[in-house]
Amino acid sequence: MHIARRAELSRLHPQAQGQSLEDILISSETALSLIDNYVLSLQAMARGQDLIREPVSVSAVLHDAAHELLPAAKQYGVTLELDAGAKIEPVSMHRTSLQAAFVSLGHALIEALASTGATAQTPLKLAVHRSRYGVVAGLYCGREEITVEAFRRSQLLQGNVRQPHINLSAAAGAGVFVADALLKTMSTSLKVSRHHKQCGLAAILPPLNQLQLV
Amino acid sequence: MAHVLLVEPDKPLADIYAEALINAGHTVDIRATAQSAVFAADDHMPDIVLLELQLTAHSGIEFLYEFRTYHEWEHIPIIVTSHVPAHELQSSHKLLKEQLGVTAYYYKPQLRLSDLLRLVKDATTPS
Repeated sequence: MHIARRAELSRLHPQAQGQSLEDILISSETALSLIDNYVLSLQAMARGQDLIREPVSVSAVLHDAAHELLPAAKQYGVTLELDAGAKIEPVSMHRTSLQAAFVSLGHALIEALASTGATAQTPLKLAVHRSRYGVVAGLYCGREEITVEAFRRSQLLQGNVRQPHINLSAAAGAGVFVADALLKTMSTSLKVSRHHKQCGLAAILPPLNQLQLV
Repeated sequence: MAHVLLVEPDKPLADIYAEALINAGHTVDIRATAQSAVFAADDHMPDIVLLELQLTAHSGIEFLYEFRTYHEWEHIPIIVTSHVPAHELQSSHKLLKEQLGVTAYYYKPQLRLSDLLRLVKDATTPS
């Protein structure tokens, strides 16, 4: 819809065509990326849990996901932050699926933050830290609405209502479920998590201790 | 020209609507949530409200109830442009039109900018 309305605006006011083309490009690339990730989740679910795993640097995946999310974040007026500088051991995951999960989740949270109108005060942080359960990587923001109970309720409501995360987002938040589906094909899932007192959604990833070189 | 209160949580779409309305000579106040929209109306009384029903936390219906309780805002035209198709709201038609005074209801994907501009002009031009 963004593309159609932006194109119509450009036709009504041809003098703003440059900005319109840029916005149309961002919207179409975002849409294609989300569709790709959704298809990837369906394919992964259809194949079962036989994705080829490899040693993956979570910091590098978060960095690439942040880079992919940047144009959409700018379009929605959301500030992205990356906190992936800590030395974290590699994890055993399917890299493409892991990055797709973070990108899908990121899009959903960018949309959610923008729909509260609190984007200036609330940056979205892609972060990783170590916990006693494993390597915890995800996206965090200052929204207290992200609670275990609210997330569980939204999972129950998904597919049955238009706004499963009603206190978090005005949209369907499909990216959250696509991310969860992708992670489940790699034997993990999204969980409500905290990083430096910020709420967020993250996955616990199994570290590959034999490859820990640092 | 009119002062438009645009209650729209989808920022890129709100920017497009605002740009079209400003180009048509209107002034626009964009708000993403019901609560901030009520505050905005209190700061500067709008001539017309464009409203999405699907908002974060408080819904557009809650906004309508709140908005219509204020005597001075009783007659401000409200046009609902929503992602919810009209047929899904058939049972609420009477509530929206008669009780909450919604001027018109449009399914957003089918509402072109040119139609939106015409609706705003028609609703804010004295007959």
